[in-house]
Amino acid sequence: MKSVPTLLVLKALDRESAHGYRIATWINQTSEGALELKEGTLYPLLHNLEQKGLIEGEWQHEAGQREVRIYHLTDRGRRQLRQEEVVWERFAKGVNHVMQQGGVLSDPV
Amino acid sequence: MTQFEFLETATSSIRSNQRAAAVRRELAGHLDMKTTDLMQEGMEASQAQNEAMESLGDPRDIADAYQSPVMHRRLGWKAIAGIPLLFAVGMTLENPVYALLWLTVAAVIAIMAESGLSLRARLSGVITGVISARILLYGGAVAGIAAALGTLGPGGPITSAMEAMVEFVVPVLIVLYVCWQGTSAGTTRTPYAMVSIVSAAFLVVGTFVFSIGHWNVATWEWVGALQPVATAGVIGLPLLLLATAFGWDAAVWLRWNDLRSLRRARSQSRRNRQADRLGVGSSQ
Repeated sequence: MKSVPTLLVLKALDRESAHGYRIATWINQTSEGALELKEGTLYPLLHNLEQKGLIEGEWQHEAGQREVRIYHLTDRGRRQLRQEEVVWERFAKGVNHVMQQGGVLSDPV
Repeated sequence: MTQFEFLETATSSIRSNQRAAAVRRELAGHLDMKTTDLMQEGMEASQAQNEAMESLGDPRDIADAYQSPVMHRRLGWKAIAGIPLLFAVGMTLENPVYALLWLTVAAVIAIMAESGLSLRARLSGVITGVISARILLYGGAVAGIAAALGTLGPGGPITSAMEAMVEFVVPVLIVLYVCWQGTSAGTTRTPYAMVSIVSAAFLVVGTFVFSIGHWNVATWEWVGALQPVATAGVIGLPLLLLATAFGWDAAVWLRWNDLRSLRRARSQSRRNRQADRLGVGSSQ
């Protein structure tokens, strides 16, 4: 499984193309503040994903603001996201299952 | 810390001026948007600007995140290549043939270090190695002149001056080169700079020991078995390396696109500074 920030960024871009700041705020708001992506290290991560061909970026003018780099998911990135989602669901299900169990550990035979 | 300083520090580990300028532009855009949002929430401008920078974290962490693991691997190999380079420097006075033989070993290690990388990265690494080797070639040329002068007047003032130059100026040039490589990579806490500093210290101490001890070349007689190869290498390799090095210099000067992007990056940097002074998107 890739890192959690990678999964979150791919998921954010699966929804819509966005710039780094929008990605960070979307993750923060959607998770109701539980997941706060480190904004400073978001950009090295975005550029790394771009080098791997999972996302693509292009400069665009935002109304009344300076130029921003908008990222969107490539087909390769979308395929990667689907695979990662399956892995994540299994992982999350496994952790939840363990956390919901009560009782004591039995001795190994 | 002003926004300009923040952005410069955050991008200090990016070696390409063009790429660093693009990242600075992107980070500056992020800071602008964050500042605007915070001001809409009722925060004062200067406080919002500081808060925006704080939300990005320590700029040195951002610089570290841009360090490439590939670069670290290459540097490890280059540090190993430094050992035969040291032998080459140490033997320059005693026997230039052996010195060039060691130089060849160093060059081969430097080229091997690039295997497994992309073609672009490999070429760039080899070219860097060639430029390093060029310094030693200049050192070798100085040693040759010193040897020639030595036959004319051994022990004379000119010979002594040339010997001193070979023993001290060449190592100093190498150290300066290595340090420049390290500092151009960014802050001193980066692994790149650390490797450079350790290599530089190694070269200084090693070369001093060689110079004082007047290494006994007879110990290395077995190297003489490689004399025919060495002779061919002595003539061919330096010429090849020099031609490539000068070719590279010429190519750099002729690549106007690169120069243009460098100018663009500098003007962007100037614009950042002006914006800083005017208080537009700055922390001041």
